[in-house]
Amino acid sequence: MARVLIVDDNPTNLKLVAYLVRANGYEVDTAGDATSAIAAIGAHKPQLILMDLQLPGIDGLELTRRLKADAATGDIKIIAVTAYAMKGDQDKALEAGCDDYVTKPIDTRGLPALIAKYIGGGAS
Amino acid sequence: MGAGSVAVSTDVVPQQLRLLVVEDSDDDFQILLRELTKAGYRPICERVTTGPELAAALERSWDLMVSDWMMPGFGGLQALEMLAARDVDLPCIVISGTPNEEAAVSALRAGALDFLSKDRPLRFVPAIERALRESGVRRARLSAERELRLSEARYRTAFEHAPEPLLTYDLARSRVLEANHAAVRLLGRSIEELRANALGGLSPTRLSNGRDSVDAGREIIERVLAGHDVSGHEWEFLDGAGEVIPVELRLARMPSDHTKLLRVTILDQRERLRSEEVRRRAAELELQNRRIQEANRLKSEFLANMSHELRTPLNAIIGFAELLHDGQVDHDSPQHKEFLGDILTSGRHLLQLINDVLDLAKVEAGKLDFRPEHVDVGKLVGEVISITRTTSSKKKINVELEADPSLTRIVIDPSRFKQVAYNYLSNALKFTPDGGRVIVRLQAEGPQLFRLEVEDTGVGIAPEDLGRLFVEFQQLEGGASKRHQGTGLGLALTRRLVEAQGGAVGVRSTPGKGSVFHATLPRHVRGGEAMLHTPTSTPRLGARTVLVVEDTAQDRQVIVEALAKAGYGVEIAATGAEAIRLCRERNFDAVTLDLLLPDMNGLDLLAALRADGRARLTPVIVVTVAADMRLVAAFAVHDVLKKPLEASTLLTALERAGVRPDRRGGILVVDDDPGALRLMDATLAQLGFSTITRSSGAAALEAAERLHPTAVVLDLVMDGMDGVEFLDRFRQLPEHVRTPVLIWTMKELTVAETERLRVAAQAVVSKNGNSPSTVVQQLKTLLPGGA
Repeated sequence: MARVLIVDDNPTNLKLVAYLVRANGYEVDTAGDATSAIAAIGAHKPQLILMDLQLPGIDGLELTRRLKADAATGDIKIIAVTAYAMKGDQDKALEAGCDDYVTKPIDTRGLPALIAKYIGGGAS
Repeated sequence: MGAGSVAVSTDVVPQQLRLLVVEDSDDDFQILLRELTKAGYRPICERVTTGPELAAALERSWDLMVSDWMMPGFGGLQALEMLAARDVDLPCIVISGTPNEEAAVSALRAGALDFLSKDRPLRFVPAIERALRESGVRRARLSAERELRLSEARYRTAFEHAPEPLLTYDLARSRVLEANHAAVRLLGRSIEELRANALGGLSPTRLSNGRDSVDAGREIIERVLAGHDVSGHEWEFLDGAGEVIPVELRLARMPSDHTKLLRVTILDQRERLRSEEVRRRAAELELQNRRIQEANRLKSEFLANMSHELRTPLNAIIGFAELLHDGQVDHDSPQHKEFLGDILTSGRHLLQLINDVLDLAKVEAGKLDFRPEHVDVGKLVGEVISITRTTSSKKKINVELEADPSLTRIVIDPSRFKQVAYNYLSNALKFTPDGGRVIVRLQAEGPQLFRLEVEDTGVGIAPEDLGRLFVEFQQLEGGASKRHQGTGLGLALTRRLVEAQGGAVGVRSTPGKGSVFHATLPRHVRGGEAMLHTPTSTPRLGARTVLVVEDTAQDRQVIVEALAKAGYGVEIAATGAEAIRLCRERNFDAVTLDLLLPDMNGLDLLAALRADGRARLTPVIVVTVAADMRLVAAFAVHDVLKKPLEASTLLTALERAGVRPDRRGGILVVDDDPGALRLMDATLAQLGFSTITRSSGAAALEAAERLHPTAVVLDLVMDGMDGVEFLDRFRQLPEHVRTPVLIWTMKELTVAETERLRVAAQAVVSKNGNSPSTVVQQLKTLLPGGA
């Protein structure tokens, strides 16, 4: 079963996205910051990460750069999910190595299709 | 001429003497030469006998002329006249063969230095030597005088044509004595006009630094006289066209015999000031430009953050709503209700965020209204503590209040103060772990300020983060704040609220131990004079009216507020004259009188009021800092009260004087919970209602009969006579058959109870989830014509 890691420091949003992704048949791990994200990746490598960009400590952009630079994790697809929706925010995410970029509020109807575009549909 | 020229020489005393001799007799000439030679002179002589010869000889330079008085066709007198006519300065001695007094007088009158007889040749040399001496002295004097005249002329030229404007100032007469061309040009006034004036008279009456120019001018001159250096003194002249000319004066004493003269050098400062002004404007524009850029940057940053902060709760709201709406969450699953709860929470968070942003924008724009009034800050903090009771009891946090009892007479906007206290307290509760402790302190800080302090036993803040605490959207990282879902605006708003009221905020913290947030505020927050003047409620018809004679705004506020709150009508006079006018126009039920008034003595005013018909018998209560009973003993005053005045003291004094307010119109609040009673009382009072508070049904019934309330706010659950029983008996009072009653209760009412209450009461508001302001809203609809 395809595995998705959701990184978000806001517990409510984490809950929402996790529910949505799980409901679409994916295995889901969650992390509230970069350190627990790295730990989760070490435990079960995901095919895709939904990455909040504003995180305490190491932020989502920096975490993305590190993961993409590491041969062991460079192939993981990363979709930035952020409440930063001003001009330039998308460029910053793509420059850091994100494969795609969506803004909050997320489109719960569109997000599963976007995930499927990168790693195929989940088991239903 | 050659015939007469004889070179005489002696070896002993070779005294050169150029001698011109007017003499027709060669014998006499030789006698003269002999005498001179005897005395050791070696004169260079020329003898002439006629006018034309003399005229030719005078072309050359001589030391002395010796002239015969009487000659054929010429004489001493003519020779002297020729000297005078040609303005030749040559000493002359006249020698006569026939001397007489008349000739001597004419010779001396004509300018001869001596008149000698040819019979006494021995006198020749001494007379010549005396004449030479005298003429030497005279010449030296003349040369000195000429030198002086030249020097004077040179000086005058230098003065008149000096490029800088100069004045000579006569200190004894306080007048300008001289002014050079440059000064006349600069000042655009005639020399006569300048000379008719003192320094102050040539200047604007008031200098731009606000000083009287005559005084300032006198002061400069005194300082010069005292030997102080006053070079570089700033000054202003008024030119002939009425234009002010800024200048710098350099003053120096001038040497003079009888008068004290001052040399005044005027340095025109217009050019310098103009270029300074240009530079200053340029710098200002530069600064303004930088500020605009910075403001723009901050604005963009704020918008980006704002967008981020709004999207975060919206993500949960829209996301969960979509899931629920699309049927993705099983209706019977526990998540269904949980997600709805998340939508609610996020929605409320969003609302709070918007409210904070609006407040922030209002403070920013200076549009936030502050309505300072006399408050009990301890009571206000108590209210805030009870509002946050849910959180504190859930987390088992002990909240303590330490209030300095001497903190009275605070004038501040109560709702804004509570907002500040609430922000601090809710923050402290957020970051304090379960079972912790929060202490709220109210302390005096000097005579002008007071301090609100909230200490927690929370996570604390790292020193490097302290600076960012009070800045918009600068939530601290480290998980703790995120978990708490702050808007990131609370502390920023607090800071702005406090600063807008002339206060300051601050924090000290030990990571891991806790933090102490504080706000220092003025004890009297100014909300604009107009605020302080306006009585807080409109007196009802038929209310007793008190004339408040008081010039100090703060004291007036205390008195007016106390009276208005108690139901009196109030009229204000800030001066004695105004008081007299008002007392002539209408009757007052009482007068409160400050003894210290701007325009007249309070006692004189009292005498004037007593002498007048209308106010002759009106009770007067003196309110003064100088509470001297003896001063007012001669007048019939009802009471003398000392400032600072307590509201209750004034009301008691008025009642003693038999002036009771018409209490009709008060709202009777009945509740056995003292906290709820106080809260409702405060809310109603703030909106201008007068209140009657009672904590039991029996006491309320007594008040209902005696004090004629216009409406009742009633709690149902009370010990002894409960609300229902009170209501039954209240309705039996003929006066209160139709008086509006609003039930405000914690009790969950059954359908039957609600039915029954609906007959006797006009409205029911549950205490659960409703603030006192909901009650007030309801009340307003029940009272005809509002409050």
